[in-house]
Amino acid sequence: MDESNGIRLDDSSNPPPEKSSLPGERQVIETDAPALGVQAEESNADQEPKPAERKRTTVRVEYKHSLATRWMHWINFPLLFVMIYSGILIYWADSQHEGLNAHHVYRIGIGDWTLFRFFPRWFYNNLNLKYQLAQGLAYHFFFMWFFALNGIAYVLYTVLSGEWRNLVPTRHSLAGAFHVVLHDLGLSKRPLPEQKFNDAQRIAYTGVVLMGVGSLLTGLAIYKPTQLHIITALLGGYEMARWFHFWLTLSYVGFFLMHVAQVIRAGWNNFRAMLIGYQVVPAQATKREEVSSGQDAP
Amino acid sequence: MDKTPLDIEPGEIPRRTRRSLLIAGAAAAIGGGLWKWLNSWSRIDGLNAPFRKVLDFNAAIARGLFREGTRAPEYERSKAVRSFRRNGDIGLADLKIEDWRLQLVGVEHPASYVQYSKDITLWMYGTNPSTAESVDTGTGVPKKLVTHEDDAKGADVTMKPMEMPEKAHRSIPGLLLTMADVKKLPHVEMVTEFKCIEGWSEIVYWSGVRLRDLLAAFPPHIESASQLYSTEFVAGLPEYIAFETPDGQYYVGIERQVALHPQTLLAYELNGQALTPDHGAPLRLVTPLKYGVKQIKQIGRITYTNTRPRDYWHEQGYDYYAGL
Repeated sequence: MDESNGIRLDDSSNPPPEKSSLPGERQVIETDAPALGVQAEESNADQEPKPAERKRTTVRVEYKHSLATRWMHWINFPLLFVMIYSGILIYWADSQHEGLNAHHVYRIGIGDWTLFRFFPRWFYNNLNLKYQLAQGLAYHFFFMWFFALNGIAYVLYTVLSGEWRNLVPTRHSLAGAFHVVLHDLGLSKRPLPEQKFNDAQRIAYTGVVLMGVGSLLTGLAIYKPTQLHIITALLGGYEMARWFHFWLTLSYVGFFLMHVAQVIRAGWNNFRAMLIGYQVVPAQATKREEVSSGQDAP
Repeated sequence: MDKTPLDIEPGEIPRRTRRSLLIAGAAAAIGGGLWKWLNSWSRIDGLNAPFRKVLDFNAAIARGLFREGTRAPEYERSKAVRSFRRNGDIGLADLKIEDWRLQLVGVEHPASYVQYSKDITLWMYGTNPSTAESVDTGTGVPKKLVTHEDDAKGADVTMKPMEMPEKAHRSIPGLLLTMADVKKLPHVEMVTEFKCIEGWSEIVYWSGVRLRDLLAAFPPHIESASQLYSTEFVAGLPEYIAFETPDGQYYVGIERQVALHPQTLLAYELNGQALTPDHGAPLRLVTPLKYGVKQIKQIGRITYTNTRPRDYWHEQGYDYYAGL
């Protein structure tokens, strides 16, 4: 969902100078776009000046992701992977009893009718996921600390830095996200509004943090269902807590696939911003007056 | 516009990209190295040391935080499953219920009880004639012992005949209680959710006696009084209770707080019927504070001890605490 639309025409919304170290700050410098090897503009053609103009477009560098955000993002990636992997080792122990378990928690179905069971035998057989319940539990209850702490640190940072303003959906985000979907599917030619994260991204990135909270809560409800039986009961009981925990995990997988697809779609410039923090964006004509030290466009 | 530390010249981007990629590569290598390192430690009870340490750390937090002070939810009897799932038969043997005795070790003044035995390990369990027959009239090949995996798949399980290990006779003084002795304790019924470490759970209707009532009826004798929890519990109670099957094949240990919990039972009935052999006849441990792996079936011996007892699945790499 990282389509690069960090262009902000109106700099009057920038934070005051004392907050200038925040990622919301936009620095505008003009330079020759081809000299930077920026390819990303191609993928954003519909947001940008018409091709004839673009050839003469200069670029500016925009600070998009802070160092903390980048580290926490990339640390979360292997942690989430290990949590899911160890979770599968744990799920194997239950799903090996195909047909034995009357409750069939990990499946798509209703009542006695099952459309699909997680996971089929080939899944465990081919991926070497069998007979590792003890190891899976050990991994899960080891890395849960780091997964939770990294997530809590991210939420605290996002709140304290004010970055949450770019991430939390607004009243108009649902309609906005609908427009983003239409736009990304090529069904709407209307350009997306200029903002750091579009409405679909706001919903997705805030949603995935809420999912993280959900995973911690449902995880606790499964981990200590006697001592914390109030949480377990609020979630509808032990099996429902397991059901939520599992579907939250599948939702991460769904989020991940969509995220990667959108990142590929948005291109290298956008991806690079999650590495170096900076994104190169076209400097529009309206921005020129704000540039104090840029070179002249060719 | 003022320059901030975040100002970079666009020409700097390739250099920054190289630097970030180098850092990312180094971080990935460190991460991969950490993963290998964590998995390279020698094993403590079937688990690489860092993971074992963290499981113990998690258990210490749970014990300190909860102190087993909560009662698990109880349910209407109608919510209980009619047929409780069978899972695991390690240590289960075919024995005559009338030949069964509960060996109790660590009681104070054991000789003062009529059930006293100078060596409880001399107790001989009888074998049901049916089993003896089936073994004799078989092909002569000893039956393959049912493994845990076979059992989990729902294979038909035949209880193996009772076989005492050769080193069983160890001159341990203690008590040999009969079922009648156990049933003299107050009868308790409980409908709680049983949770297996494999993931599944079922609501089960149990009847039996409270373990703490057994502790009260046959008070322990502990030579070195507990230091760990000296202010927390009545002095003189053991820190652990050890359980094992009559043949010693399956064994668990539980902490004192769990033993004293009102929902920790020695159960002899399931759904109002005497336990069947595959559910641990004649007497098993039931507690909603622990996963099923701790709820040992067919208890042969109970030992009061201040030393942490060995535990079957703990030795296979599972958490000792296994607390819920």
